[in-house]
Amino acid sequence: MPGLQGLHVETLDNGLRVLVREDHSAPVVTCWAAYRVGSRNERPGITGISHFLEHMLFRGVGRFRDEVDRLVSSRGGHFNAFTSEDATMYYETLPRGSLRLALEIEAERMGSAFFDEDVVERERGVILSEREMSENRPEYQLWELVRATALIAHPYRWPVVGWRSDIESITAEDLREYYRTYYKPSNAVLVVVGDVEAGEVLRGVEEVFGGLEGGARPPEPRTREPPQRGERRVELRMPSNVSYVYVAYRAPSASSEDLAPFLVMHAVLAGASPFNPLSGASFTRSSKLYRELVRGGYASSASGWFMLTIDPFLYVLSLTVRSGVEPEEAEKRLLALVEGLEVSGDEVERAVSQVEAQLAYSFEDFTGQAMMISRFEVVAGVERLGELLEEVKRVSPADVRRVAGEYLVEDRRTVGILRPRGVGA
Amino acid sequence: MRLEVAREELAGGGVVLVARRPLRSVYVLGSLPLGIHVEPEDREGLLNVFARMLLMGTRERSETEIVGEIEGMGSSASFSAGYEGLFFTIRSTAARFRETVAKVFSYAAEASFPGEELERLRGRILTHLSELEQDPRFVAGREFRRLLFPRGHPYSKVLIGSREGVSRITRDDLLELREAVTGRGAIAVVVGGVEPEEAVGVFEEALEGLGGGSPPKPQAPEASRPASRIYREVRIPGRVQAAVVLGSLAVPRLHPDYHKLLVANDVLGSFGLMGRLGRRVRAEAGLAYYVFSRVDALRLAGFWRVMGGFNPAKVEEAVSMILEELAGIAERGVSERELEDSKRHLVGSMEVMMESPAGAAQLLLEVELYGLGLDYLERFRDEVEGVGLEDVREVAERYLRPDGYVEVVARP
Repeated sequence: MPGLQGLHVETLDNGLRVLVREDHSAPVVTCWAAYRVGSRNERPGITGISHFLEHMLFRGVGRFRDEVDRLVSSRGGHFNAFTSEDATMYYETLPRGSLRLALEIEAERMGSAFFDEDVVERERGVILSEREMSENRPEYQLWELVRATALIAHPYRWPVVGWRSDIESITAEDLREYYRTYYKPSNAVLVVVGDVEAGEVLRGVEEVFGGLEGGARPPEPRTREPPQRGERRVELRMPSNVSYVYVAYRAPSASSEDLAPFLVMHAVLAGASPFNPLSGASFTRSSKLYRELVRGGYASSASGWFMLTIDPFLYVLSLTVRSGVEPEEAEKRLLALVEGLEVSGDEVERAVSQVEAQLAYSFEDFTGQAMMISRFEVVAGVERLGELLEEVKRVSPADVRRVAGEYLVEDRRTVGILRPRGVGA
Repeated sequence: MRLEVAREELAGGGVVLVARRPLRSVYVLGSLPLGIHVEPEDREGLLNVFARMLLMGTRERSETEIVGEIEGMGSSASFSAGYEGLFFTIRSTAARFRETVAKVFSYAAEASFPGEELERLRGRILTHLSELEQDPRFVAGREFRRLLFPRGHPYSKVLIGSREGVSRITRDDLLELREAVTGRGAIAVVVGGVEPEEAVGVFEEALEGLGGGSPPKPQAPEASRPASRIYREVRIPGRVQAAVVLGSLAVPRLHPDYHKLLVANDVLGSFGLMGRLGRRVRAEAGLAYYVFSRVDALRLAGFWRVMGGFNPAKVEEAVSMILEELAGIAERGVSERELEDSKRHLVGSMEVMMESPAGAAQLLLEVELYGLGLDYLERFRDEVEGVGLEDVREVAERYLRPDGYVEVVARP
């Protein structure tokens, strides 16, 4: 695939996987360190610990303690970190001459963390505030409930930020132990994209990271989600000015053979989603979902999304129910559309064009490109990204009908409804 | 600054800026000279409705057919209301650039504003307003504008409009506004895999079809800095976190203090992890996930504001920290190291912003919108590097001192 041409891939002796892509369209470089650890690796009692650890390490590490923000910003750069179900990622985007600083920051993060009690307490307050910010949105609360209902065993069932009681009780020792288990070169991926020379980058990476001890790869989570056999329903009543409907179906994993037809089916139903969240286009208005639910007068907005994950997760369709419409009416219309999905050759052709275009857009900026490469490498291997376009081009209407008939069925669905209830009602 | 830009003034009065990049895609950002000031007092939200309806139907084609054609090519397009203009964003692959732009502007020029589409859209916007009215961040931001600017000032409004304003909009309002649309004064910034000559030609044709209306010139009643603290508390039952917006009037975009204020604000609430505010309220006290400050400098006026989200029981503690930081910077200014760090941050981040076509386009649109000239990319460095310690203290004392300001708290 065009965007991945010239991707240099190496593995250091300590197990650190390094991916470098030259792009000379702007005098900038971005450096991403991704760890194969997220809420998937947690257990009850320490839910949210991957994200808590990200907060601790984001403040600064080793010889850059409390200094990362100043060092990066004073060069004009930006930086951030994210935790997902499968990965924890940190990045710095800087003028091209500052790559060495980014590499050194990430090497310190990999080997020299600290967990002072007072810092843990302050960061706990910040994380609780982050959780409260999400809780302010009624639809977020519905989503938490839907995922916890749709899955009964797999760690994907709890939110990445964690349950409040766990955030309140995670200790410095819990964090230290978790860090020792998952933060090591053999469990990490380093991605560099930008106005650089790949050979020089690889030599720099070897110098900065080569001395870190690799350690054994951490154990994989054991729990597998059992099959769903029958619809599940959940209702949330809380103060809200509007109703929401969420319908979640069990979806394929990023390495599944069904991924390409599933992506095309999603594009037909809800519009193709961006691969790079920073550089995508919106195709929702030509989707069946928009036409039937929004133009049809049932919803003020409708969207469909699913994440590329290591283990099978969920395909989620969500509606903000239009004022004056009962949520059951909107749900009924949605289920009729989805579970009786009809797909023409033209629709598949347009959907494939959209997926192709999203792939082209995803290579526009360095930061988003590196995020996409890091994420694919963690969830299915970066080769999967390379293969995907060709697989998508081969998808036929029959393939789409097959995956729709297999995945979008009553037995695999969970329905969540948020019904407004006034204070004191 | 390494950014090669071709700038062409069109015979019809528009301007096209093109930055060629070796990409398979093209990003377009532009504006038409039709800002929020065109809304009558009792039609708040009119420009938003107008913008969205530009691609919702012509006499011959329905919305479904229009978006089907555009999105079916892997392209996307939208018009949106802004304080300084009616903005448009277009994405396409390089191969579909010409066809996409031609279709988007041809359908927008022929927009017929069907009555049934207006009703559909109105229903959606009103539902969305219901959602936003339960969001403390939105509510605090809206009240802040209403208190800071006098009634009738375009910046006192929110772009989505008010429930009353949206309910009153008629098809005739839209048709009347259509008469004011013109390609004169339009700006199109094109970044990506297209040659400048081709991009200029495409927009020459596209903008020609818009017509030659005469949009009203931006004007507003005078806004003045509050003489003392103006406080408003809004209760939103059932929410978990309170939102605070606190700020005051500052300077318009072309004011000589603009760059000095930019530096002062960077130290206060932007540099690194949200500047001094982030260090004090987030890192040291653990009271917030977000607390930052920003400067909005527009054509007619400018303002600064601090925004934060806090546990309702911690609002007063957090606000008192914010006020201490404002007083501190107004009385004592900043340190030499803070000044140098922030200057390097502002200059360097403009360069880093260029990594994405969207970032480059945003910057170029601002340059053209305010008539800054393409050499602004160089002059920005000089302007920022020329800011001294005393300059920062002076502007902080003049604009950021916490005596005359608006404070809104939206809380459960």
